[in-house]
Amino acid sequence: MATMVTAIERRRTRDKEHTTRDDSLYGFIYAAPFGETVRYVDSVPAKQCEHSTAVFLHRAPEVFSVVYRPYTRVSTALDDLVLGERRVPAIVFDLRRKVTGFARLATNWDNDGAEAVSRQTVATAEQLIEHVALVLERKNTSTSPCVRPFPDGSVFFKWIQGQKELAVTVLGRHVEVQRWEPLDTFRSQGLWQISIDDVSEHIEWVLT
Amino acid sequence: MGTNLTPHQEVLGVGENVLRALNPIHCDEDGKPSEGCFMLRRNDLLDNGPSFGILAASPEQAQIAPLGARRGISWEVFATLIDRPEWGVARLNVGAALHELSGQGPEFVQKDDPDWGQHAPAHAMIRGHQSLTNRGMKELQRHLARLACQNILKIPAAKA
Repeated sequence: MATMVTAIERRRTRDKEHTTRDDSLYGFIYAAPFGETVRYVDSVPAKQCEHSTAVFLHRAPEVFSVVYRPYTRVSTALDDLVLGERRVPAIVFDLRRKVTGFARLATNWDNDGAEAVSRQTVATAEQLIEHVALVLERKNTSTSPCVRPFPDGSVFFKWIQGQKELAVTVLGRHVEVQRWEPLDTFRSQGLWQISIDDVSEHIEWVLT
Repeated sequence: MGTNLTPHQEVLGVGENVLRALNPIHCDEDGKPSEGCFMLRRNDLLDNGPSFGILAASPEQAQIAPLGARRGISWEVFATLIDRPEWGVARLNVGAALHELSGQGPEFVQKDDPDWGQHAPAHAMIRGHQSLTNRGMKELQRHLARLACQNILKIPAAKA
């Protein structure tokens, strides 16, 4: 029964997101509760939107990234430029918050024997996010990778853009990069163990 | 067709289908599994890889899925055996899962799981992935996750 209710709620939420998507009077609240990916929560009148804020939902504190998308039908290149600049800090803030939260995951955090995420892994992942921020600002784009912890204690970044996919795995000080193009291919272009300072060129690749 | 290894272990042929439990923690908000649901490790013991269930096949399918016809179980039964109400279930065709790696090591093998009681023979696991390169292992993880996304039989519950 609980599953059915959840499914209905999800559909209602999606319907609202869909119907307000192109309405210039609405902005969108995206929530990112601890350890989870960003999800759409609600559409709100645009005047209530701020760039990034902390609010309360269901009486529990959750951090929200609020993305304001006014005038999508008549947007200009200048609008896109301004909006892109506004979104990058929110994306980086969200990534940092998630990765920092991974440090709190103790052994067996997935109830299936997962290893804890070490401080070194988190520190390396945070360094990676700095490179993400630089590339996003340089390219003035607001796409974002998803990030999640893996059962082996690594932190996994995945970035899909068009037919390109970039996977970056961080474990301790080690950074591995793997790339696919097109998406439906089994074989990757390669797997490289790289220095954290070399990650930018791979992010550039997926965004180009 | 299955290949005999020991009296109680057979390699699953390309016509067989297996079931994989999906931990909601390793799935996205839509319940789609990530690579984390198919973690393969080089230090997995040869005889103790990630677990799967063998999906039941009808008697008419016995030629292409003999194990499924003899020992398979439904996904509903599989869901009760893993005993995690919030977890999801995905179906994977063995041939589709291993097509790109034919003869390179990875295979699904039947292995009794005593914890499954009367359904013990419906347990399978993947093995041979230890011989892949790191690159190959991650390619397989990604491939299994993508296949599972296409065949979710039970959506994992939303994360708390």
